Amino acid sequence: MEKQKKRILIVEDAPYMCEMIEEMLNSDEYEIADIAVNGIEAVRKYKELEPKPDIVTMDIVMEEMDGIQATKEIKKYDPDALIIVISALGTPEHKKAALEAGADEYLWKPFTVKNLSELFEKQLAVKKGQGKK
Amino acid sequence: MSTEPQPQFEPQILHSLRRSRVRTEIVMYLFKIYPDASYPADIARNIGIDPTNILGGLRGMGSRYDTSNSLIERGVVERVELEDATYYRLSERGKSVIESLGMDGR
Repeated sequence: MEKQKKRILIVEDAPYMCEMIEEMLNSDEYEIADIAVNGIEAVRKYKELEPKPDIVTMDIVMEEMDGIQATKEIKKYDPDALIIVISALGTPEHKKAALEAGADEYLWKPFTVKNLSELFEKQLAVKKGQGKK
Repeated sequence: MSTEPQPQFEPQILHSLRRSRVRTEIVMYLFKIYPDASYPADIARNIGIDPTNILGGLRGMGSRYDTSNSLIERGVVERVELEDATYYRLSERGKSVIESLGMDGR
């Protein structure tokens, strides 16, 4: 039986990062459900997508609505959404703000394919474990 | 006597990156295109930060971007002079630092 690919919603306004995440995830395990370039688009696309993405990668610094606010809105709509914030903002305060907004994990740039894959696997395992409760 | 690079410099590089979103975005972009080099206007366009700040992150500029923490000064990025133009490329050292990072960014 063919393994079902995990669907990713990328929220990112820098073209190179979208390309990078797409290239990193070009495998048998993941597929890109959609890309949003700001927080407002992210919330709208998350609500529209069916089935819902398995993972949302969320930038913080974006125009219109930032990633912290978008994380809050998505979590309010769907508390089970799995959101991984990926940011170049490197202070513990930024990480704390993201986690308090409901993000499941915070990945600091710069990162490698290995970092991203490990994080996805870890969080998907946690989510799967919670679903069995 | 050993001439191997000393690993204790890496925390200083990470400290320099954690203090600046601009420096971190530049490094991430140059890591993506490695081993290719790029020029400030192209880096700026790809990461969505204006060229003046890109130069600040690369070389240091005034009080906002202290030279001692610049990517060139830290040895994370190197200059490539080509046909009267200056390009920038991630150094071997910069690449090694990124590849040594764990999931928690340390």
